[in-house]
Amino acid sequence: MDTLLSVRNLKTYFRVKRGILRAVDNVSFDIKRGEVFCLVGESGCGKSITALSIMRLVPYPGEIVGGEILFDGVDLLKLPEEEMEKIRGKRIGMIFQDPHTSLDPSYTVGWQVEEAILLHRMIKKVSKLAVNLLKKVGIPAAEKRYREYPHQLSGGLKQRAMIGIAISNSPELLIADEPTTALDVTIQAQIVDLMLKLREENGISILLITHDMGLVAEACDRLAVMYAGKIVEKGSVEEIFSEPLHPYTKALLRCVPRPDKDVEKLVSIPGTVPEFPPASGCRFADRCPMTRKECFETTPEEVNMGNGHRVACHLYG
Amino acid sequence: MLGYVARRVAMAVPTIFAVATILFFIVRMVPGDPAVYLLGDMATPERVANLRAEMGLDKPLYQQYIDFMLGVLRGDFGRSFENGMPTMVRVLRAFPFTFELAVAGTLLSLLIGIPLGVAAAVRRGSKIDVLITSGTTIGVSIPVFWLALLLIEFFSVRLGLLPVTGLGNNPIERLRHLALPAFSLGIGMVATVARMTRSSMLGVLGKDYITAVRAKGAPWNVTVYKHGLRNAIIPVVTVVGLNFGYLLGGTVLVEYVFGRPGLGSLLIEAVFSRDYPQIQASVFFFSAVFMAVNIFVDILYSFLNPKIRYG
Amino acid sequence: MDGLIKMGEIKDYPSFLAGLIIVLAVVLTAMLAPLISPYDPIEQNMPHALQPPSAYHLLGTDPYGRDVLSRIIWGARVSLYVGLLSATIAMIVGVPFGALAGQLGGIADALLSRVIDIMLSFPGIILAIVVMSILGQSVDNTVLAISLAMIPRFARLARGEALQLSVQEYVQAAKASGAGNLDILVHHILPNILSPILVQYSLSIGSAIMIEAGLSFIGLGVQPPTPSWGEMLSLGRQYLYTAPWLSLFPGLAIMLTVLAFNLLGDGLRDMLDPRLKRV
Repeated sequence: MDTLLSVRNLKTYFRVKRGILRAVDNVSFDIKRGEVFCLVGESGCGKSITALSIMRLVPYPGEIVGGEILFDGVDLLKLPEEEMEKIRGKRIGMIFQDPHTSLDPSYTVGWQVEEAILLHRMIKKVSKLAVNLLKKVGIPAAEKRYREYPHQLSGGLKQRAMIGIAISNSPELLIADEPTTALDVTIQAQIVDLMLKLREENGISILLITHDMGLVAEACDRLAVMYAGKIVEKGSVEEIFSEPLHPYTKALLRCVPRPDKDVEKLVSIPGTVPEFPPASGCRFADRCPMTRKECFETTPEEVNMGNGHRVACHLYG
Repeated sequence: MLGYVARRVAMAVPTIFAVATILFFIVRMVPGDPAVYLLGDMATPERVANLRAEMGLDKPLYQQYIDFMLGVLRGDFGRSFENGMPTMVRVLRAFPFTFELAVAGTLLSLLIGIPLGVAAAVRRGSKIDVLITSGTTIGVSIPVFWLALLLIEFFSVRLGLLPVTGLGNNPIERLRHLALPAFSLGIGMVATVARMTRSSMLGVLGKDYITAVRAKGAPWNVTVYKHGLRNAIIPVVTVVGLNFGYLLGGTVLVEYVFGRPGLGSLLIEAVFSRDYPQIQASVFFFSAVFMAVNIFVDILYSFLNPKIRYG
Repeated sequence: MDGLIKMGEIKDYPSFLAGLIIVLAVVLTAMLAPLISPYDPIEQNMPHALQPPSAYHLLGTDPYGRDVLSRIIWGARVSLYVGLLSATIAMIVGVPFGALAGQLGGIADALLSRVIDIMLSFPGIILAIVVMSILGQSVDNTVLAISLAMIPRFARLARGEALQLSVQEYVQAAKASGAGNLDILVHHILPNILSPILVQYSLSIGSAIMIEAGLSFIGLGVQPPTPSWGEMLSLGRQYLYTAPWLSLFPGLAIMLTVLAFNLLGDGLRDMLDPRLKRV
């Protein structure tokens, strides 16, 4: 499998009153064609900003200050805005965390699907195509839903419609930013199944952003664990789940309730993600149970542990 | 939809009723006898008594009230003390001039205010934003009548470009005569509309669906107008409607400054000549128009907002 | 109000600061009028009539030879008197009624909402004009007319805020523990709706000054020869061709003062509204 997306040394900073917030700091990872790649971490760790950086839709006052985002060999950060618009929605589709707020309340669902198609293709019988798309993403009574407004649809149906919009131009990459977080548990499973089905049928690559390790185990091929704007560990699901290296990854995995193991209590990681981490040293140091002196002094480098399993931690330096 | 309109109109009926009642009693509170006032201090008691009978002032208060309210139902507020004409006829003759002015002022405020608000919101924090935002704060603080005087001084007295008084005979002349009054009236509203558009727009542009539309590949300007403004306009419409009362109030001053005929001129004239039936009819009509506009805005609001339209 | 404003923070709110400075300047001008006004504002001096601005009369003279600057300085008294007093009366009357209605709900609320609707169905200045025509023209009647026109604004605002608060847990808890309605109003509702009321108060002073000027401009408010900015403009209107300075300066005074109270109100809103707290 060849590489579809290669993010290299991405830096996205926010200039706020209290200083510079380094939301994404030197992040690198590759996504291969046809694979599901997960970006995992607590809320506020920069995974959503990474996704928006790939789309070049970082909200104010954020700014991409460095790095490369090679999509099919082309650096997206170097494209003029008009060229980028031809990639968004056409070659990269995106769905968002909260389906209740990601559809425009003023237009019908069908109109919004058609808009997505017409932005990139001149098609006469677009309404037929739109209805078919709604059917394809499993919306029952698609002809009726086509004419309805978003507030008339349930959260699950809205997320299906969002997926329909995202795949309307058969993109090569689908970015899904916590696509199930806002939904009921039963609906979550359906949405995940739908995405995996699309991968199977269309060979689409998926960048799945989540904090749900259960979902990672279920859906992912490879993953990267992010903490406070940096990737601390990445590798295949098998590698990382069987042998997590970084103390943060270990802690994350301990947080997952597992029916197969008789765990006495669910562990939570004490402390919160620092908003303004110190310039040098490991960002996880003040929450890490295994710190040494150097953890507070130098930033750990990424180390290759074999089989594509990489970790940034002084324990393995 | 029709049911909603009917309900909304029905809700206004008691308010209209109360307004009429207040107008009846407020005039009864005026010290002195209107008949004496009309005839002057030198009038003989017989003449006063005759006039009182003619005006129904000799009947008991409740009877006067019933007569008044029955008149209101027929749109009859009695005759003007000033010239004996039915007061409602004078009001209806004056109304088109005020309507023309108010509509022109509102249109002007929307045409200028919305683009300004959008420009400020889109370039949040920029020099343009700061300029527009501070401009609007100053705009709402300018007295309508002072602005009118300044405009007259500059465009009429100094440049001789635009007429001050009169209405104009042909459409172009009419517009030329409307220009200064409409601008004086509209400028405060421009500021209100621009502010509201800006804050509403900022709220909408921060919404997830805007990012989602961008993620579909829509260019920024398409996103701003098709999705941003489309959603941001809803509260702006409401604010314009709620402020229509201030605008109507403003027409009084503008008509006074420019000597234009209209409801406001009629009211001020009536106040100075203590023409109470005329005051009652004028104020009643002002309130009725104000309420009608509010109903219209509610309907427009529900039309723009699918959440309300489709329950 | 959990966050009282620290002095150090004020500099983060330039519009509030600007408003505060202008308001203080106008207040000082009004207070010190007898000391700082160069001429008597009322005494006529016909030989000096209609002089353009000069070193002797910085802002010129009016058709009666009175110094425009002196009349503007004294006019600040009328404007502030009417503005402050009518906004205060409107607040004192409107807030408790509105808050109580919102807190109690039910019939009391329905009734008061109706009354507010009716009062709001007259555009403010028209209500004031009618009241002035009934009561007759004087400064105190102007205050009465304007406060009457502004009461519904306060009542509506207080009602809405109290309505939201009355369902909050701590209010429910107070009710459950047997606190009386008045007790809840005074101790739980009023202190918590102070911020928006304060903002409305500041903005209302500005609009009261504006309405007063409008009434006096038409000739229904403050009567000559008492110096008032609106009345000065109405005189200026008659001399637009020959003495434009008569129209320019009083209007500038109105605008600056109204602007100051608006800035103060907007600034207060930014400072007090926790939802707008910046990152």
